[in-house]
Amino acid sequence: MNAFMNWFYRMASPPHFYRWSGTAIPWFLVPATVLAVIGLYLALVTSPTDYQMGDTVRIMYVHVPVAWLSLMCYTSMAVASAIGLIWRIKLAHAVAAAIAPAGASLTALALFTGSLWGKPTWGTYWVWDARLTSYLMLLFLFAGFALLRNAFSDVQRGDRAAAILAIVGVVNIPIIHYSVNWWNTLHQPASFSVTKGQAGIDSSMLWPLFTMLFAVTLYLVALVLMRTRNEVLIRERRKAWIKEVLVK
Amino acid sequence: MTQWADWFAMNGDGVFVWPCYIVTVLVLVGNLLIATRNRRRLLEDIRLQIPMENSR
Repeated sequence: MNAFMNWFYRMASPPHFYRWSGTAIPWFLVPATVLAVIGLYLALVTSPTDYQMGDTVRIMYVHVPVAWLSLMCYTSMAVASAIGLIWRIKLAHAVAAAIAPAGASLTALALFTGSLWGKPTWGTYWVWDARLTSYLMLLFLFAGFALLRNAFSDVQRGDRAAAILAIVGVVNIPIIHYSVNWWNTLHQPASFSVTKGQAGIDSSMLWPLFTMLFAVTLYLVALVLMRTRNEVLIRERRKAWIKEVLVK
Repeated sequence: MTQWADWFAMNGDGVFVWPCYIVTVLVLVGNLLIATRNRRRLLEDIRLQIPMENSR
């Protein structure tokens, strides 16, 4: 355990992180681009139309990955915030700050694609059902996190205040997830479940879905690394090691 | 040619499907461009600040 913690602290030291993340970014971005091209081809060309929804089912291949990953973003942001608060690791707060805008943009995309899917299938762009309402709260939580963090002139105080908001806001995640089971929503329950397997969805639709999901996941890792590096530059600009960065 | 047009129209669903894909790609690529631009600006700012601190 001690060896692991030592490794963890070393990886989390800002200069060390700045160096390894610079090398790591292309290793996520390149496969993400390749998978996205394959995923787009599968989603838009080879995947079949749905017998009820017709071609609008293709919206699923963007809507579901961005919606899933927005929840993943929020959870990661809260975990990073907790690590930052408990162990006082500065990099953890930088990661949380880097995730917030990425998560907010995915949430906005899920709302946008969802409303464009809702119109042809439900006959409305928006409805105040439990899933859509709790999901809209997620966007406000991401925005609130960013606003609260920027409201303090002192970076550390802003980090701590925003971290508490992120941790409290985690209660919304299970509410979003189970809203389709707990309440009678217009939004359909999950077609795919880790425990029940792929019963609700055919493999010809599952493959494009998973390809897109992996593409966006890799993309997100790259984006969060890029944004975390920027956060590190802001927080460490007066430190001596920054000069080494500029020489290169 | 009509084959492409049919594919693009998606039996009339294209008006809902295409905006989803186009906006998603624009937002995801935009995020990367913003991060790159911010990085360049931050490095420029730090570069400007260093000579001043040395002269003090």
